[in-house]
Amino acid sequence: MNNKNDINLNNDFNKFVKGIEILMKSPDFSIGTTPSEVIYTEDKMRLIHYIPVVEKPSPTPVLVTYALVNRYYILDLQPDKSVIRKLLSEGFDLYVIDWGYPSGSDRYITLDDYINGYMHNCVNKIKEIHKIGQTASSCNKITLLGVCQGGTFSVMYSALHPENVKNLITVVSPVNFDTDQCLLNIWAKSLDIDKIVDYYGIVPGDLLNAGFLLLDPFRLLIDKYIGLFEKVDCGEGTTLTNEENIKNFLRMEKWIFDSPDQAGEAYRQFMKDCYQKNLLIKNEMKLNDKTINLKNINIPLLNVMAQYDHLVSNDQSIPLNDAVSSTDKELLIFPTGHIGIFVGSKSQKEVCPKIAEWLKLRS
Amino acid sequence: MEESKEKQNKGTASADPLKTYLESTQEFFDTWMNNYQSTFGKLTQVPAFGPVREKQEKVMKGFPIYVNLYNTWVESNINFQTVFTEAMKKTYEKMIIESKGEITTTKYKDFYKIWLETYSQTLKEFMKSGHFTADMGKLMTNFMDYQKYNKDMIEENVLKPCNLPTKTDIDEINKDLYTLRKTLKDLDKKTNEISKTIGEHRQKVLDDLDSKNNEISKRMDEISTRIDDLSKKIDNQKIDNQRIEKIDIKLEDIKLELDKKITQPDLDKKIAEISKKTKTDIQLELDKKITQPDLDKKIAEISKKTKTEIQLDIDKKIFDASKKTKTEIQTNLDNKISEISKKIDEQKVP
Repeated sequence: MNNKNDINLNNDFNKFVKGIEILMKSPDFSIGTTPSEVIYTEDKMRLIHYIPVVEKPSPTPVLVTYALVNRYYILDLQPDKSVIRKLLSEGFDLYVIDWGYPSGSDRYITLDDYINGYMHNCVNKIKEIHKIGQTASSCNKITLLGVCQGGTFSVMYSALHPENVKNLITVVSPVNFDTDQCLLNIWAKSLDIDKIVDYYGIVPGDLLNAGFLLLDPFRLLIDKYIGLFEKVDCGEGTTLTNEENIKNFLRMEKWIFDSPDQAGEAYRQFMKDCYQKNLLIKNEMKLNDKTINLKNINIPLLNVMAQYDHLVSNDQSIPLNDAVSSTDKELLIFPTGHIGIFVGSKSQKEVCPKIAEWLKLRS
Repeated sequence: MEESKEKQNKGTASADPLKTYLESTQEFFDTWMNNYQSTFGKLTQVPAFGPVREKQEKVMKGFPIYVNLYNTWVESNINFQTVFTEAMKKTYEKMIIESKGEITTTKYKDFYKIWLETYSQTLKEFMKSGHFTADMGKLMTNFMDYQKYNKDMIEENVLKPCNLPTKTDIDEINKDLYTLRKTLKDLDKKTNEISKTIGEHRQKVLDDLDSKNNEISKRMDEISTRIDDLSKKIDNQKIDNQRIEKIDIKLEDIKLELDKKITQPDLDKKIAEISKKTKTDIQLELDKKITQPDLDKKIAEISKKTKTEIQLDIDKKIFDASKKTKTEIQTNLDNKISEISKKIDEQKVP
């Protein structure tokens, strides 16, 4: 081996040592640091209100709904890449639903409970706080911003309670589940959901996570950790950057494996009606015997997608725009991935500003 | 299994030692499975008997469940191994090309990239295939059956005899808890709705009461004004009555004065004279003696002192009377007339 090789090896070794040194200090990688307050709780669900940062926030409040799998704080993972902070600085009044961690007693919670119960109560709470609809001058609707499965929930809610929704924004949200572009959709069709739910009751988050890891096991279980040390730069005076890199890695790592268990009955219906029978886009899905008709949605719609989304391919989201009866509707596709749309470089520079721009005109 | 066998055979290079090994494994497993199904597998289906019949049946049911799981696991495993073998082969081929020339540390990184990309790509293709999907579905189903069987057996053979709560017991409680929570929420919602309705109704009633109260107050004010007006009128009436009384007194005085001027003996004499005459004579005499101008003169003389006063009083009386109702005036007049008539009649009596 020549000198060049020795230098390369030495550099790599130094990077590794540096990384280990930082990790040994147990760096504080706190997440979700944007100031907020819990304004409503119901069972394990919490409604969080982020403290506005402008003097006069937009009069139409925004309710952000995240998926049941993984946690809402991906939207506020780190201060410099926080979707929440960005939207607050754009002048919006933001609320987020934290679904919590279901446990044994929640196994019978249904999709109807989530949408017509928790979500509906959150909307009413926000309306109550803003005294929406109580004065002649105030409007009686709010904006829904749904992310991933939360977007699907927001679509369902908007179709069932159009009287409460002024604008609908869906971000990487599936409505058409009949696709061969995503492995999850292909696999879901072969699963005996009843057997899984009947056995577990509360479907373990780890089981779902195993499924996500199986999508790309070599990258997600090996390359990612090797890459961590690649990111550590041993240059002079760059300790803070190294530390920040490690912290950001740890934040993402925490989020990825922070997978709440799933309430069995809700999981059963979502998997069978959506992933296996694809009823939602056909206007055949029912919640508590009430059919969800997407044609009931005639409000402004912004459908945001990620071009390289490996979990929700674009063909799962695009049909929403044709399914609704809205005339004011827009599709936005950004060259990023399912997670990158929130924490990637495009998020702060393109995604959030575009959403804000669209929403400001309609709030 | 046939499918899997077919798959194994497709494109298999008989010279490939790894594939030969996998084929042998598959072959061995198929033979084992066939033997099991024709021997012990059948035995497990024999109806149980004797005192431990039920337990025995349950234990025997476990065998096919376990065998099914094992079967799908081996099949999946063989399929995976086939994919890995293929990935390994591809990687090896690429590395041979890359390893030409000097081996540097950068080259090792390139080898790593080749390995990663080749394995990822090959596995991804396999996982997209119907084989993997079917394998995974079967494996999950059989795994769930196996887990459920184990759970049931532990509950029945361990937890129940120890008088410990089972998952089934806990789930029953969970269901009750869920139902109770839901009922509570529904009740809460209904209570709120009722409270809201009551509140709205109460407010409406209060508003109505307020409005009525205002109306009553307004009416009261009007009535008070009327009462004041009436009181004033009554007071005026009192003053009028007093004035009438005064006029009566004056009239009485006039009468008395008149009485004084016509003395009783004169009157008696006159009456006696008159009584001797016929009514017509008297009338004639009276007409002769007391002519109208004389009478006027007499009255004027008598009333000379007080005429102006009397006239003023009468004017006032007329003025006051004009304020009274027609009936009142009529009544007063009737009374006065009857009084005067009475007095005249009394005077006429001899």
